Amino acid sequence: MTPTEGPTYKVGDTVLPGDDVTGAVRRGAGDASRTVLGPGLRRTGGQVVVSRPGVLRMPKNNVFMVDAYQKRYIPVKEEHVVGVVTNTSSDVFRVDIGASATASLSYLDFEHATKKNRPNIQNGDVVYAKLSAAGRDMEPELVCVDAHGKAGKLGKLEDGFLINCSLNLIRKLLSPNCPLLQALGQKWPYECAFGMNGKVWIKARSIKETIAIGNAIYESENMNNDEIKKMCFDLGVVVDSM
Amino acid sequence: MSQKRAQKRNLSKGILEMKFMKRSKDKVEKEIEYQEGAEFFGNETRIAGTPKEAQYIIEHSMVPIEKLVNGRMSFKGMNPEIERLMEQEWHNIREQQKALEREISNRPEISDKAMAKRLGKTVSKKYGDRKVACNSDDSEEENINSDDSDKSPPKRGKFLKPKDD
Repeated sequence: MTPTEGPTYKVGDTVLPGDDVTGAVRRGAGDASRTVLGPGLRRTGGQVVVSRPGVLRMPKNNVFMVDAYQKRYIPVKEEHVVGVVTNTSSDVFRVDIGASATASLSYLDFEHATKKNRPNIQNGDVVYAKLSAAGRDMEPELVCVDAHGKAGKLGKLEDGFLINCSLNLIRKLLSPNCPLLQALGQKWPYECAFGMNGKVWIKARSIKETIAIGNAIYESENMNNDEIKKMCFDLGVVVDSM
Repeated sequence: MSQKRAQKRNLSKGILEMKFMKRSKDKVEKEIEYQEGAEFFGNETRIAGTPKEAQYIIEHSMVPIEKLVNGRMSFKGMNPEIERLMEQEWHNIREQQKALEREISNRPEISDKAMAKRLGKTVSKKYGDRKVACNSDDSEEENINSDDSDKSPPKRGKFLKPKDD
């Protein structure tokens, strides 16, 4: 990939793969010694080059990234994902995480799993797992234990309901100042697992509540925090009256 | 000079194995390692080492950039185990924030007043002792003696041998 000579970009501009944004990054970073290049930016030689189409953003000081509406997941190491098991016949389970290739999950990477004690996973089961390996040229690998061999929050997700949404929505809902999940949690008891790959698993007490929570998640994509709070309040009134 | 060096490098294995040659052996091994490394990695290591390249940190994930929380949650006792873990996580985050705030404000965890209150007695005692000791005598031996006498409980009366008739 050779960077194209072109107009000088600045933060907030639309950029395309191959655009050279070294200037924008230098100017934005000021005299700071270290700059973070987030997703969508690559370094080739001394230049910073865009690797996916979108809008050049600076979410924090000295942090740059390319933001775009995205539904296709690109696996990144250490991220938590929700996946559907598609093959359990061999030593490694195949898990669909919505990426270009299915991920592999060894049967030994569960808590209390040994060669004799195989975890009870069937085709179609949903798992919440962490990516232990991810790269452009490799198939992603999952684990359901941490470094100490403890499951923690990872593992098989029993029952519940699975929905898909955009990666942007996941990021929005998981940001620390998003009120949706807390507001819904004050309304009904429920359990959820948000994967960075855009899959959301919900488990509530009844079908009615599950549908309500799912719809609330979908609807909040184009709302701000105040609107979300109001929606949760209205939803509570409507569902309780049904 | 260079000849001498070359000779040194070509010391036989037998000599290098000897105990007193340990240092030179290490040096020779290091040199060989470096040469091999340069052959294998060629220019790459040199490129990576330049400060210009080091100024960029590559981060592929949005999780640390936007400080996203873990996506596994439970509310109102749906899954107590998960709620316990969530509580723990929140606690850790709060502690980290507190530590960060403290660092930014440059205020120590224990205020100067509290520290003075706590340490005032012991420190004053310590320095007080030294002053007294310095004033009283110069010799080291005397100092020790005076310290000892200060620390030890007040002497009781000497044992008096009963007079036998």
